[in-house]
Amino acid sequence: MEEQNNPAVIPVDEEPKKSPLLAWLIALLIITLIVAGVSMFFLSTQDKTSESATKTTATSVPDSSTTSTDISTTSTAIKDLSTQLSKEITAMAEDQKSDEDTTPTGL
Amino acid sequence: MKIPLLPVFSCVVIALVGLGTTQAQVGNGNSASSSTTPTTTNTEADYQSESTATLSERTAAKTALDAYLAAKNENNETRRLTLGKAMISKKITVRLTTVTRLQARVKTGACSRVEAQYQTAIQAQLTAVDTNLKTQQTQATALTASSGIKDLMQKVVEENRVFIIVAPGVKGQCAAYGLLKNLTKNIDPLVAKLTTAGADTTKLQSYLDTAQTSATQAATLYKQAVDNRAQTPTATLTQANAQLQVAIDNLQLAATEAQTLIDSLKQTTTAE
Repeated sequence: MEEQNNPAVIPVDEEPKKSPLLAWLIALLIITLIVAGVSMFFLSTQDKTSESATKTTATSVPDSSTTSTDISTTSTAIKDLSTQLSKEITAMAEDQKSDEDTTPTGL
Repeated sequence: MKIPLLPVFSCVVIALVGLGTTQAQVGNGNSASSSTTPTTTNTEADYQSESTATLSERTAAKTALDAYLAAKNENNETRRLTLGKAMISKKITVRLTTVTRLQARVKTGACSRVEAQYQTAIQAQLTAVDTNLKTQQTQATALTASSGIKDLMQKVVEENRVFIIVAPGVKGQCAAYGLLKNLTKNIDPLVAKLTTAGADTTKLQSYLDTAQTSATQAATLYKQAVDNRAQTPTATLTQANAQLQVAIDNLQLAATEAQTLIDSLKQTTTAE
């Protein structure tokens, strides 16, 4: 009764203050969910990536029969390069003989 | 309610680290696949000399030259000037056609397969020649007396040296840089496989190393020759050709050695 009559104590309809600990707990829960989601996403991506990398490796260094095929092209690949260069040298030599770069006489 | 910032920040950092790791793995996968790029081959058109390719333009220039020389002794300054300017114009056209062909070769043709940095450097050399020729074209148009024809014609030939220096110098750089890229991208992985398969690749590697060194020297010399074209550095071009020939000789030795190793490996496999 005394309290009701005291004008200094007016009951206010304000939200009761929540504990900071509760706020932290809620934040941590949200973060845990986000981290779990992100981790799952990246784990699945990495699985796909490593699967893809394995496939790529399998293409580059495949079973012994394919490796043998690759190796047998070594000589041909080097020979092809050599042939290409020889042809280019011949074309270059022909360019170098051109009389077009001689200043015409009698000008 | 305020969300505490520290844990949120940590979460973002974790996510970024995860993303970085994933991207690095993807990158590794790609580089593994690019190591097996097939050896590229040129077409026959790539080996055509510039003299042959510009035959019609050269014929037109020769006709214009003959017409000017015939008019030179006539007492008709207007005719001399007109025919002289036409001759220079035709001579410049032959050169510009060649430079354009070389530019196309570097941009999309046989030379487009060299490393980008060399492609850019060669294009810059060609752009310099192209610009000079176009300036001389403008100078020819602006001539007001036939007395200036000889000097300008001399400049067109001597400052550019399109046929005897620029064309072989550019093609030489393309060949040498192309060889270097081919060795790294295509041949080295095959040699590594031979080694893994049990072959002794010491000799083969030695031939390829010599080819690589010679090709590097050849490329440098070809570049120098084009850079110094106005000095007509034919000796530099000769040295460059010699270095490229050493590379070719060593490639042929390497091809024979590789075949020997392959045959040896096949015999071993059959015996097993």
